[in-house]
Formats: sequence, C-alpha cells, structure tokens
Amino acid sequence: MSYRLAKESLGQNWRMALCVVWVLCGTNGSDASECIKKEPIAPIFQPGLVFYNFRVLPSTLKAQDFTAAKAEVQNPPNLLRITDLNLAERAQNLKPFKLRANKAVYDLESGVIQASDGFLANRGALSFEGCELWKETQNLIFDAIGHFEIQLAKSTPLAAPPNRTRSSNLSPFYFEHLTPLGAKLPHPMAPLELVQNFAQDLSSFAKCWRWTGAWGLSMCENSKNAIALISKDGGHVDLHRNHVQLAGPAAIIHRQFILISTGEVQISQEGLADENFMKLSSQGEIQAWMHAPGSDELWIRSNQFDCVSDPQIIQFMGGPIMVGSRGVVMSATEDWQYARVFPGGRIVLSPGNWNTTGSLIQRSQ
Amino acid sequence: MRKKTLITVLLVAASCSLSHGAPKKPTIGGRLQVLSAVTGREVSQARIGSQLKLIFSETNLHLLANQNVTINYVLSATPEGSKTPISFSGKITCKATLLPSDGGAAATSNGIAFLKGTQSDELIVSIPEYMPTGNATLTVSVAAPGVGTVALSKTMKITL
Repeated sequence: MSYRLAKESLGQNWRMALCVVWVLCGTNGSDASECIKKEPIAPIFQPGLVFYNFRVLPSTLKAQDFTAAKAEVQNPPNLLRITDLNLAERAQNLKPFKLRANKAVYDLESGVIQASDGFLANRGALSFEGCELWKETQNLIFDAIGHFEIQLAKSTPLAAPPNRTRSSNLSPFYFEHLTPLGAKLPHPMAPLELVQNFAQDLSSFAKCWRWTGAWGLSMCENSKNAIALISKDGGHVDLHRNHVQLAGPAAIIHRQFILISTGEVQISQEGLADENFMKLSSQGEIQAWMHAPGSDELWIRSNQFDCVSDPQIIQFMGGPIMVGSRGVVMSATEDWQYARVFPGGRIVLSPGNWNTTGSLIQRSQ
Repeated sequence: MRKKTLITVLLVAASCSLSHGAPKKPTIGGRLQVLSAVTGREVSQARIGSQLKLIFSETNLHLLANQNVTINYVLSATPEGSKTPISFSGKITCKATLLPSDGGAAATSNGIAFLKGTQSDELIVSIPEYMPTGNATLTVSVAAPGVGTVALSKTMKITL
C-alpha cells in the first residue's frame, strides 16, 4: 500500500473515519526517521488534513509504532498535532519504550515528539509521568518539563495519562494503594509533608509507600524494589545509560528513606529496572530520613551527597555529612566519611573523626 | 706455567663442588586462597559483613611441626577521597601439631590444634561493616621462631 493508493481511496474527502498509513521503508535496517526522510511526506499530508484513528506502522524492529485518536497535519506538513498519542519504540536488546500523551506534536521527518497536557511513559518496570515531554531521538532519551515523577515498580500496562495541568486523583502507579489518612507522620520532621510540597498531590505518592510497618516488609511484594522520584521542574532521562537527572528541588521516596534536595539530583542504577543498586548524587541542601521503624528520628543531612544503595544497605557519603539520631548529632570532619544504614535502622559510621553534640546516654527519670 | 694453570683449575673446580654440595636451608612458603565461607568458591570480591575463608597452604609444613606459629591477617582499603587506609587485622597463635604422616612427631600440643593433619590452614574472617568499599588488599603472614616468616597478599574488591 502506498500514499498514492491511500490518496486515491480517499478521493477529495480529506476527513476520514479511519486511516491507516503504512510508512514504507527500505529494508536496509535503518530506523524509521531515516526512512521517513527518504520517503517524502507529501502529497497526502496537506496542512489542515485531519486523520482519525491514525496509525503509523514500522517496517523495521527499531522503528516507532504509533497510533493517535486524531492527527491534524500542520504547516509544514511534516508536523502532526496529535490527540491521544500511543507510541511504542523498540531498540535492539531493550524492552520497548511506550509513551502515551493526551496531546502532542509529532514530527514525521525527525521523529521529535513534544507531548503536552500530561504524559505517561514506560519501559520495563519504570514508569514516567509528567506534564510535558520533549523527545528528539529514538535513543530512549527524553526531557521532561514541569512536574515529573518516576516510579520503579512491577511493570504494568499504561493507563490513560492524567491531565497533569490540573490536580487529579487518577494515578497510573502500580503501587499498593494506601490512603493518606493511614500514613503515620513522624513528629516533628514530617517528611511526608515535605514530599507533599513537592508532589503537590498527596494521593499520588502516599499510595506508593506504606509508612508504618517493619523494615523491608513495608512494601507489598510488587513494589519491593520501588522507588519514586519527584521533581517540580522536570528532568532528563537516558534509558540507555540508566541515568536520570532531576532538576531541583526534588524528592525521592525509596524503600529505605525519603530524601529531599533543593538542588539537582542524579541517579544511576545498575539494572535500573530490575534488581537495584542505585547511585545517587546531589548538590544542594539535602536531607534524608530513614524509614526504619523506631528510628523516625534518624536523619542524614549534607550539602553534597553521594548515596549508594543496594536492596539491604544504604550508604551516605560526602559533604561532609551529618547524622542525627534521637537528639544526638554526629558530624563528619572529612568528605570521604560515610554512614551506612542497615536493615532495622542500625547505623554504622565510617572510621575518621566525628564531632558529636548531644548525649548518647539517656538518663532515667 | 702449566702447573700453575692446572692448580688454579683444580681450585676452582673444588670450590664449585663445595658450594653445590652445601645443603640449602628450607623455608616455609605456600599460597593463599580466598573463598566464600558460604559457597566455598574462590572469590575476588566480597560484601561487607560477609565471611571469607582464607586457606594458607604450606609447602614445607614439617618445618612448623611442634612450633608456636603466629598467623596474622590484615585487610586494608583506602576510601575514595581519603589518603588514610582503613584496615582490620587479626592474629592467631597456636602450636602446630602434625601427624607423623605429615612429617610431625606425635601430637603434643596443648594449644589450638590448628595445623592438625592437613597441608593447609583455614581462617574464617568477617569483613567489618565499617570497611570502605572498593579495592582492598588482604595479607596473611605466617611466622614461627627459628623457621622464618612468609607473607602472602591478594587484592580483592569490597562491595556493599
């Protein structure tokens, strides 16, 4: 099937109820954007033309496959204004990247996508949700603009993207559903409230975290390795390198801690979507609170942070760091010194000098 | 002139035969193996808190028979950004008791029967939770009075 055939079948009626467009590509293994460059967009794509149930099918494994409820050809005609975009990209040896957006502009020539009014993306166990997205290549790299959330949990089919420009209770997350009322706020730090300031919608993150409960058992099985990253001002995601950059201020809800940073946060993960060994670094005022039961007052603060986490142990380093626990504050004197938090909230400090304020001995009344 | 040359050759030959005939003093030596205490497999990296099994195999075990043997081990690593290494060490002293089949006399030890009956000594060592991650050096030395000291090292990676 070709564009000419499609055009003939359409006649002069540019508005159609169903349109399937096959993007004809060479068989040399090149990606879809290259194919599109070789195959001129014209003549079927005329400014003002509207397609309903629009679909572009790939002819190679690397190409993009997308559908849209409505696609309106812009001027220049390589730009499509799309409503209800569903896009799937497949790269070699990688799980497919899926994107849904309420509204988007798609460039048929370059493959650039600008999603607006809410988007959902997904690859493997990673889900992304945000207001706006800018994606230039097929290399699984994109920039998010505005409110941006990342969730690591068990893979789930994409739900309809919520309209992030308005407050919405609709959540795509596949986390255990908890009501905010069930969350126990530790006093006086109330990190949940701090995260709420970033998330601007308590329901969107309270669902992913059971605040009370035993260490390591606090999550449901599906979200055992769960992590949620929240930024008010977007971020940069490189799924090839398993690297995420969040613009500050940012909040991170981890299985073992909640972290708030005023500055940019960078996260890289070995096996980002599976067994997680996470490296996290940040510049700015940072504070992390441990989730361990009975250690609500355990916090770690710094203005420059390197954090390494495996499923059991988390190590904070940099700054130098300060560790606070039950009225005692221990300050490292050198940048390399670290604190490790083990299951149950047990903390081990590195060798080196630590300045201590407060009393470690609790006198009985 | 010919006589002088002959005498010189004989002297050199005699000195050579003397030096070749001198018995070489045996020394202790061997090799070090680092195994996971759980799997028993040789490892080049280990997690903090995990246990390692160190096996030191002597080549001249009979030299240690009925000797008071000291075994030292040191695991040392320098944290990234620091110039000071962090280490932990341990020391074990024991009296070696060897079976006659291993070159020892009858067992007379009143100490730890550490070297009993085998050609290797095993230590179980736990990596402390405060140790820095990264490259570390493990050194095990074995010493006995009158026999000498041998030290062996292995590099390994410590992870969380």
